[in-house]
Amino acid sequence: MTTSLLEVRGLTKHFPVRTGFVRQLFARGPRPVVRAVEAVDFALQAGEVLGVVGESGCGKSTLGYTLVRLLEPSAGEMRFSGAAVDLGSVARDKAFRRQVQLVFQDPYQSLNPRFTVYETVREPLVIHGLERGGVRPRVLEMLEEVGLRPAEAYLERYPHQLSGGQRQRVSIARAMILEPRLLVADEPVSMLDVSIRAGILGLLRRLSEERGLAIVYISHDISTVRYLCRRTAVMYLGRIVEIGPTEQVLNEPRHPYTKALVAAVPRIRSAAARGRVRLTGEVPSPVDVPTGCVFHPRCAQALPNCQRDVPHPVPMADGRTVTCVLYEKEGK
Amino acid sequence: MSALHAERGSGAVAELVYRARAVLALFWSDGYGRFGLCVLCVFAAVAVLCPWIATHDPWVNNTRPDGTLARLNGPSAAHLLGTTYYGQDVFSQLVLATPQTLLVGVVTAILVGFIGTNVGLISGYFGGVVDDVLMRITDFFYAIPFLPFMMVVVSFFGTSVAVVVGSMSLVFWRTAARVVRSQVLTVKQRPYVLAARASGAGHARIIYRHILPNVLPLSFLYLLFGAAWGVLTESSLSFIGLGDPNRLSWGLMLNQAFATGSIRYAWWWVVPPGAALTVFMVSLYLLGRAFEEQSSPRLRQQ
Amino acid sequence: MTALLSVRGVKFDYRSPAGPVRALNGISFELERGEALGLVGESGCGKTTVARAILRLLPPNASIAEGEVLLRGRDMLKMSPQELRSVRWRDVALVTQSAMNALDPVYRVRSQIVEAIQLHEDCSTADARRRAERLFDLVGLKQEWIDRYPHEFSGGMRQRAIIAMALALDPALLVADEPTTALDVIMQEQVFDELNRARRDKGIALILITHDIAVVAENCDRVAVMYAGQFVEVASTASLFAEPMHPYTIALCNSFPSLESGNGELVSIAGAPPDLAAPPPGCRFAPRCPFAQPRCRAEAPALRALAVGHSVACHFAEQAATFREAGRLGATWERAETAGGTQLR
Repeated sequence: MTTSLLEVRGLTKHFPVRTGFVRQLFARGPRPVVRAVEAVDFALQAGEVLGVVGESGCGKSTLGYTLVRLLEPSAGEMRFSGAAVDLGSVARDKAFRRQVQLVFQDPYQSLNPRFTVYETVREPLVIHGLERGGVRPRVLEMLEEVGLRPAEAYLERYPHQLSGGQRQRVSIARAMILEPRLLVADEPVSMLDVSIRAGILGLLRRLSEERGLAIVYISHDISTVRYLCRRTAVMYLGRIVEIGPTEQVLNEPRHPYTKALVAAVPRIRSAAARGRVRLTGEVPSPVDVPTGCVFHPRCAQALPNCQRDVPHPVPMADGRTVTCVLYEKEGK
Repeated sequence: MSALHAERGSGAVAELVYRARAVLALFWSDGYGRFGLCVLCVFAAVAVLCPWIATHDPWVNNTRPDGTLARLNGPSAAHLLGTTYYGQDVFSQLVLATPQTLLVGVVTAILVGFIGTNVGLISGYFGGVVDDVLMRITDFFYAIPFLPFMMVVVSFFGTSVAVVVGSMSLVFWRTAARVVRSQVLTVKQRPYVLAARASGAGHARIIYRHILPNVLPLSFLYLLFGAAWGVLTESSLSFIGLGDPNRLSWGLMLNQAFATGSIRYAWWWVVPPGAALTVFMVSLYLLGRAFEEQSSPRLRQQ
Repeated sequence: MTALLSVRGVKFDYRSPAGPVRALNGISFELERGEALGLVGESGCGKTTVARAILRLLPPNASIAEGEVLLRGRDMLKMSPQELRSVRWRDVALVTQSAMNALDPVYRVRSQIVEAIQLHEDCSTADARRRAERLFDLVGLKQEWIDRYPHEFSGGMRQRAIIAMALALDPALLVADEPTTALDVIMQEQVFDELNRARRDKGIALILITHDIAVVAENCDRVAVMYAGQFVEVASTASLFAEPMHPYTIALCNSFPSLESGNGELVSIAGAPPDLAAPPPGCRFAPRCPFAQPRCRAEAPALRALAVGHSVACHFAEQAATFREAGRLGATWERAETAGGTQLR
């Protein structure tokens, strides 16, 4: 049994709510807290692409930032290549960051407007003291690999001279130049035109296949997840409600929320066939999370006990895990 | 802009030259900026060539051919801008005060820019306690009433120009710090800064390599303002007598005109230093304005 | 019966430092009462400009060079500001993507709707309030929410509130510019459900501007595909998606990952749209089109009807079936890179 590349247990991230000074003086009870990510469990193998889907506010971006340790988790543990992640010293911090990198959503803000493409892609090498032996050829090679050809022409360009798709490729080059083993991609194509998304998605796919790169692909667009990811996790209010092979999860969703999500995606051809799952109400605020199963206020299939009992993740026969009381008997 | 790009060399010096040329091009492109730039060039030229331009020794009490003191003579062939109450040549005084003034402006600008930018960077980047402490210090300097402060400083340390420049800079960096800090607060949230952190960059590298270049336009603007404030304040101090009486300056000229009661009719003595100050300030302001106009839309886009 | 809206040959220019930019180059279409038309295209194609042209919400550096926009027979382009004010909101209303910021945060939503109504009609505040409540009903929001402030609404709710406001005066036409782009799928579904219901009840026509072809496929009767300021294909929704004819439409359909297409190949069009300050002679899509012939680069194709209600602007539209076959492969679209060269936007 090989060790997973990444193992996450009970990962939690809370943010304290900053209320006014006076209110804090007179407040009773525990301080309100934004429960952005709550008790997330999953494992990722080397070279695997995992999709994380959910609506805005479900915590998927926070999860991404916590995985690359731009945010420190409030609780839970993370194991990378079998060892617990420990950023105690500068050396260990840098060692971790060489292995785990991040690509951002907004191509227009991800590149320093004052750096040329060369300076941007070279920067991680300089930070890690790897510029001996000449960086230029390595940068050129990386640019070619992400599809910016001829690479020489791009070296001295500034971000404002590049299109959105090109900027995103530069971002990917910057992330990949350290040859990480895990890439967290936070909505990398949602701000790009549709006709160029495929290029970027294809690039990610190729990088994963050719370099054995594991990717955590975060998106609110379920259709792109289907294209790229072999496994998918569905998040709601900071929790993973269903995780499993993409085909299973999207074709035969089990969790009521997943069903609603998949049903709501507009289709080009089979519009009538998509079925409607009407959800009542709106997404609750992550500060004021419902008791028991957090989805129960909106769930069409809620049982009386759902208000009280917190469901546990239940592994199912087809390899997926569902966190819903409806399946507790089926699984295990 | 693209032509400049093409000629760019590599290395730190080439980088500096490139940026300097870019800034000059920026000033030149705006009508007002062009005017400001030309005026400043004239002042700079005068400052450099003043030993040759000045017609007399500014401290000499000149006499008329008949031996009497050439007191308060109007403009003439001998004295282009007339003479002062003490018979000193106004034109020479005006010209020879220029390098001093520019020096005050430059030094104040650099000090204000340097201190203000660094405080703003560190305060904005680290936030928390560091930010609180630095901002409270800044508030302290905001609360200081300038003139009483100067009087106290001068009475302790004397009226030398170094004291004046030093204490002015100590007070003026506060605005630059505040403004730079708020820009830093915005920039540090940007994904490209987060990317630097995710790549393992340390604090110093992030502040000075990643954030500073984006804040520099603002710093530069306050550099210009710093120069303007410095010159104006130093002249004001000289005018009310808190400046160095042995050092030539336009403020001192106005001070003497006032002190000798000649201010109401010796226009040749009063107008030139006043006009020089005004024109200098206006040109700095115009440059600042041109710079702000050009860099703001880009700043906003970024 | 004359069409509700008739747009004929509209040409729209922007003044830019690089010279005049023709953002719209001869747009023509008709819209019947109660009909829903989708305008699809990517960034920079001019679809938002069409909305502005119809409502004459022009920025200071823009002008309409030619054309007519006939709303119920009256040319909007020739109206005086007073006439325009009476037409806007009453006959045609606009919902934009940034509509979520169109609500003033310091006033309750109720006041804003009432104000809009009273500006155009002689109506007592009590009556206006009742209408506001009914409008909220119409878009599926609880009536008592009209007394809340905008910040208390979620994104989807605010969008629906804006739609309610747009429908306040029973316009005949609603122009929605990317109304749900910033929303999640579940909210998007709710918004469109309510919008379609309101439209059916009141026979309101809709121009839906978006880059999301699936949304258009589900909510519109007809579709017009735009590229570089021109229509390249106009057809009924069923017809366009069953048999797209223009190479750009084909590429667009194939570049859309969907839940239906499985793990198949996704197409990505090489190159970028042309610089509208200096558009290429001939067909504007030719530089990126793998099927381009010399004729395409020399002569601009006109929009011509190939079947009933299906028009295409392509010299070789008769070979669309072949194009569709080849268009399914990603490699087809990569070839164009060397042919036309890439232009930076």
